[in-house]
Amino acid sequence: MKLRRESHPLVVVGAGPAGLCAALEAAEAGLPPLVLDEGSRGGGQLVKQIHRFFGSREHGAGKRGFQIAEELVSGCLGKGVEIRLGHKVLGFFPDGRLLVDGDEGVFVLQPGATILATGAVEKSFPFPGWTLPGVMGAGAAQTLVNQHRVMPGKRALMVGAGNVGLIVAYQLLQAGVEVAGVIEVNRAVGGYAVHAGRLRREGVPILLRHRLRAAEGKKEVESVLVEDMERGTWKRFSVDTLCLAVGMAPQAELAAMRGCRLVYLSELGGFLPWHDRAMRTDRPGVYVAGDLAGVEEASVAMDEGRLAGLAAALDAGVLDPGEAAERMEEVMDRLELLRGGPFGEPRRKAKERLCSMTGLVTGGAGRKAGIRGRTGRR
Amino acid sequence: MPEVMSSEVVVIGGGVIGAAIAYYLCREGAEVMIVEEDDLASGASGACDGFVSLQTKAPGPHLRLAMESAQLFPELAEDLDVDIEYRRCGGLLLATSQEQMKELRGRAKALKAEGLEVEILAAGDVKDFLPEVGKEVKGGSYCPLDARVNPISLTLGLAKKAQEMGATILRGCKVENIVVTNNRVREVHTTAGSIHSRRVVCAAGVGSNQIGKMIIVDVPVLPQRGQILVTESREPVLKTLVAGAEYLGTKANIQALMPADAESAKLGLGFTAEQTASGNLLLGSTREFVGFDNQTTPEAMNAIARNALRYLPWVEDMDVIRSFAGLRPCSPDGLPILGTIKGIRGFYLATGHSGDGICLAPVTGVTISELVLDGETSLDIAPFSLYRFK
Amino acid sequence: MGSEVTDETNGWQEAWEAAENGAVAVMDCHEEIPCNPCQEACPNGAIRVEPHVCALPRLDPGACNGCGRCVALCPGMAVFLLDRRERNGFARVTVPYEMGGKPVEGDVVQVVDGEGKALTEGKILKVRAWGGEAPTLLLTVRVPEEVALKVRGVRYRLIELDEGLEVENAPPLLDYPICRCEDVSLQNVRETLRSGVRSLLTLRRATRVGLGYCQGLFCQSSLREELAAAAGREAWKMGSFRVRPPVRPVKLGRLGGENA
Repeated sequence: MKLRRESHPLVVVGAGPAGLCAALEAAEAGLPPLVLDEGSRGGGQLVKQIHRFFGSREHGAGKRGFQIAEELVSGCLGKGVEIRLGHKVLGFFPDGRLLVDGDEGVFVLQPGATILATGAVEKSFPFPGWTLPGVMGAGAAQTLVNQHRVMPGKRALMVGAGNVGLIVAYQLLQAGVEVAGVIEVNRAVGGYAVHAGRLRREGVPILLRHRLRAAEGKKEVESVLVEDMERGTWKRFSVDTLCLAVGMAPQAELAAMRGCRLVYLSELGGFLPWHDRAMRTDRPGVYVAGDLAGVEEASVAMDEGRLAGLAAALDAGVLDPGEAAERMEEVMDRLELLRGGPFGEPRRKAKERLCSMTGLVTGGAGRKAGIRGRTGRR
Repeated sequence: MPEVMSSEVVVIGGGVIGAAIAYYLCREGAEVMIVEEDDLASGASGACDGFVSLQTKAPGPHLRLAMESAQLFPELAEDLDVDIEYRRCGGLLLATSQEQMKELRGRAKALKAEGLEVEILAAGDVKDFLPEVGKEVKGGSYCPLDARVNPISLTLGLAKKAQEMGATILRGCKVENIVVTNNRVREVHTTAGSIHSRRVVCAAGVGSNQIGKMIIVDVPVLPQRGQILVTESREPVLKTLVAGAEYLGTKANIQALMPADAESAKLGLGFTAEQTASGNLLLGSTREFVGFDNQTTPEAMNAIARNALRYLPWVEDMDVIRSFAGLRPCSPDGLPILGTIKGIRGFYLATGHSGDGICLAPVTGVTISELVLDGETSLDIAPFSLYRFK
Repeated sequence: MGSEVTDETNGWQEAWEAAENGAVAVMDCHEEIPCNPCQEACPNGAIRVEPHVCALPRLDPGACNGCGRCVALCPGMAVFLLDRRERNGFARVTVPYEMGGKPVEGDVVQVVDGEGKALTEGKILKVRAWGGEAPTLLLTVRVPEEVALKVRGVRYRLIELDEGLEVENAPPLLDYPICRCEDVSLQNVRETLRSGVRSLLTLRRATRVGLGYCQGLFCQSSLREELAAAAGREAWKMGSFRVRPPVRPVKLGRLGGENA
């Protein structure tokens, strides 16, 4: 029997905030897409976020993450978007076809255009004891407590005082896990002061200039060794869980496989597909949005998704160019504001640098600017 | 890097063939320089299975070459500092129809006549070798001398040992031109500078045609894509090499053993399976002429998996963790091209090994080293001459 | 305490004064972050986040009726209510609460400051809930006026701050795997690098790093850093593994399945 084939005018990979907003926007413009996601619920990372979100009304701010997810999903369904959950994309081939594993079997999907919104993956790094059970990414711990209602352990230490570390440490407390502390190598908390504040008022110390040195234990984590970098001394925390919140990196495998040019921008999490202001990559008919296009806030992911949806609809000829320009302008202005303030500034500049790398597509000029072309060849 | 270098022998290509030639040349005390465009084992030698299979060779010179090569492996495994994971595990060739069985019987007879130990197995006997076998399997043949090796370790091990014996390896160094004056090779121009040398071996695999053009010789080697699936690592479950009769059909162009359906025929689909020392199953394979495209395809991934389930249904619950494709240097008849070039002294061809590079590397190394240093070989390599195609 | 209130603390002086007449919001928000649900929450338009979403919120105490919606909806849990109506040296403070347990009026709790230290013990006077289907609780406690502005939360039990146990001698750092799937140790990788290997792929061929189940997802960036350290270059210039499908592991039975 032959490999089954399907085609669709527009396919969105990833049903997180970026993918769903892209789908909504494209559907509204008359190009309802097929959305694929490997998860069992639509909403991506939002489904395990129990805290209220930042941003403004357009991003569901003030609501809890899972509520925003539900709204986006029902919004999409109401506009004729088909969301197929439990569908893994196994490959995005250079000829533009997708290989998909879903409940209907493995099949080849030929998209007219593709929006990649594959999100980010937690960064990890090796250290003595890192393979012991009990060592996990902060996101994994968050999934356990908020989605599966399982406590990862009784007592945890969090590494990294960025927003993820601070939020997840708080949520571990909410789930009944004791949090021994949050350690951070830098001299200042990386996340929002309000998140640090929520944690501190619960009695959780945030230890700056402290470095993780080892997880210890026979069969699982029993304690964690930490170096006080200022004093040069070492401390041992008795914990059974060690959570790492040391950053996220764009999940760019599918983009790389497709042949999209990748660019390295540390402010945005590492290697990410080059794209223009309307989220078009250097491959025709391939768009990106959300954390894949640079790790930022969910609110940014939503607006980037909207841009990608508009661009795909415009390029497919279903959206009037004037209307598209107007809508895009509005979203771009909002993005500009979202990236304001001291937290957004480095990301705004990195995005600006990225979008000004037009020379990159033809090669050459970009190299000096610290751009790296990589087509995913080995 | 000096701009002008010199070496007694220059070997173009850092794959398993080039590394083997350099190794045997060094053992004879020759001064050798390997010029590699990319990196050691970066071409077909790093993207293939580890079959050292004898019963899949054509009776005649091809089989004799392979049997000679097979004898060299144990000594190599001893001599190289790298563990090449050589294991004489035996190999199965499975038939899924009575027609295929008939063909295998005839072939086994011919192989035996040449001194190769081959045993014909009924469907029931096959079960002694495998945990479970597909219902379609009607029997097969078994060769106890078939072996497996880690092709990357073999290549790196040969190159490393050659280097220890004095060979120079230029990585990331592309040959741009070969200077011939008075009918003799004099110089190799590379991106790293010129190398004065009176003896140049072309072991450039799929790049051989390009190298040939530099001395105005047509080396009929085309890249043939072979795709392979890799599963997660498991406890040892597969003791022997396993191939389907169709693998032989597409390899040796035997009509009776060709895949039945058009899609499989187009892919040149033939089943192969082996378990590596690290526990992964390598499942193959295809034979496609698609230029230098070494990307795997959805069709082949599906077809290989489907084929694997036909022969070994128990692989069903194993995770596929990656696929890869290698470009085999394929000659018109699938046999290697070994020997000298008419009218140009000092130029030697060791290419076109098709899917047999790993298996034939040791014997190619010995033979070419003899040819380069002594001008004659202990094995008759006339059947592998470039001029057999004319 | 009034003396600690300055204009730099985002309108607290005005709030302090206005609190004499009833509950008023106090914004404990001092960073320009893209967020304005407090403005949306206020039914009286008393909170302005202007001119853009990253600006600090400004409260007009005169327009605030102390309804507490902003307290419930602030994602940073950085708004509380201050009520000094009693004018007898005590103030009522209302804080957001999202921890476990089911607080009820009359519960005795520890009233804590921003560091989690107990300011006083107090009774919960009032429990309200606001904020849609998964509401936030608003707990009102009565505290001495001089600590009122320091209150940041309430806790049912206090946990001793854990600063870790001092370790006498730094223990030796042992070798550990850098590629966990293929169990390749850091020392093995470093030795290979010392032999002159300078590319990710050469390293992979020599050691099997990145060839396991995760296909280099976890080890690739660490390997790049090791290579970069050996080569004296930047990590991002050290290349990447080629992505080879399937991007996610898939069962052979599915990949070659009959329904495919």
